[in-house]
Amino acid sequence: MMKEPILRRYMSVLVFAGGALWPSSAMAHLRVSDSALFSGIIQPFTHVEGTILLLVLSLWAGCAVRSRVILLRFCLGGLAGGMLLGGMLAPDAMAKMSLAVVILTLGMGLAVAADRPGPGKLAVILTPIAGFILGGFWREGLEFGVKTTLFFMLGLAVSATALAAVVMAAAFFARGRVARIGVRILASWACAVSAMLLAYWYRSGPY
Amino acid sequence: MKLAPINKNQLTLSWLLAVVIILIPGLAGAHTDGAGGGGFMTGFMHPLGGLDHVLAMVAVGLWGAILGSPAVWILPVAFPLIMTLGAVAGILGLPLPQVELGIVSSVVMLGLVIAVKFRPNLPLAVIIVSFFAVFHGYAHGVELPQNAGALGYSSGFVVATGLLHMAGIVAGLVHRLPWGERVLQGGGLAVTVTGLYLMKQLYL
Repeated sequence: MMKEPILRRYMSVLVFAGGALWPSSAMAHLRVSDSALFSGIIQPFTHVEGTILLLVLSLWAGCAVRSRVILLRFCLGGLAGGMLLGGMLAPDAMAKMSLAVVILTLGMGLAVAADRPGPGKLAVILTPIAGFILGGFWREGLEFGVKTTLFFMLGLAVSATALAAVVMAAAFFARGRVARIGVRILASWACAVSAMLLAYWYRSGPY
Repeated sequence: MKLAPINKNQLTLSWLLAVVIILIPGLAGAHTDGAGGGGFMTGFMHPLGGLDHVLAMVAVGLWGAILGSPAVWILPVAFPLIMTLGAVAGILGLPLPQVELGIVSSVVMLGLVIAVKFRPNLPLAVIIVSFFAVFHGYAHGVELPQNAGALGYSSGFVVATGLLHMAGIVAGLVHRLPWGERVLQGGGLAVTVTGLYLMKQLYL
């Protein structure tokens, strides 16, 4: 049984969830020019293809690092850094980025669903790469100047990293049997969705 | 005021629930005529729109609950993955004969295994469920509307299927009660009879 500190953390997650729900009433018809930072913050909640990868990546990293908190911190840092770099430097190639997002989701989802996440060091290597792809994917198609892009990417990195931190922590602390099953079922759902997206892609081109 | 302590499982499940809640506005919020929202509801309603799908999915959950661990959680993990193979075949337009027969047969067979308390080993249970999952997935995949958002549709259909399994698992927990097994066997029989009726409708 856990005591007060965990309860405080529990409350903070609820506050975070409440905060994340709040923009849903205000995000409609928001123009990018209104606020690059705010647009970046809500981007993971409006472009869900990337968010599914973010969730699966976080579940996978949380499982792969096992009990080594230090690796989890490297993963989070690498993810945030990779996203920032991807947003600033990734090539303009929407179709390839989307395909990479779907393939990564499928692979990582399978690894978690099969309960074979692999070594923690692999998570430390792959999270910045996935972050780079995600950053490029989420920034794709937005015609910003360098300064505006930087603000947009900062907002994006903050909200996406916060979301990833919550999910990584959930997977990391999921030691109980029921919790592990929940993680694996969620991963299998994400995996199924990405496999269907790949098929749809093959049939009709980029969705 | 002193708060009651919570255990680790409750905490982790709460976090996962929070994440799911966070994602809801992105899927169901503004601009539902676009690729996200409309597709999600179309996909979500698809497995719920046919009695054959609903009965088969719930029956899988019921059977898993009866078989107990580890089948109770392996089946819900394996089913969407295998079903997706069928969906992929449907989306790509690959031929699969007698899809409707496969679907109604799954209702009859899954009801029957519950009614007769058939308890095979785990690999055989997974093979049986996977075989039928392909037909269900194919039907969903082939009916993917051309104008539906692929992501929304896929997510909706996978989530709805998963929720039906969970409903079956929760209902199946009744077998732990003294009279529960009889109730489940009766439910299994009812599913089989309904499946036979659907089969009659299909061919007569």
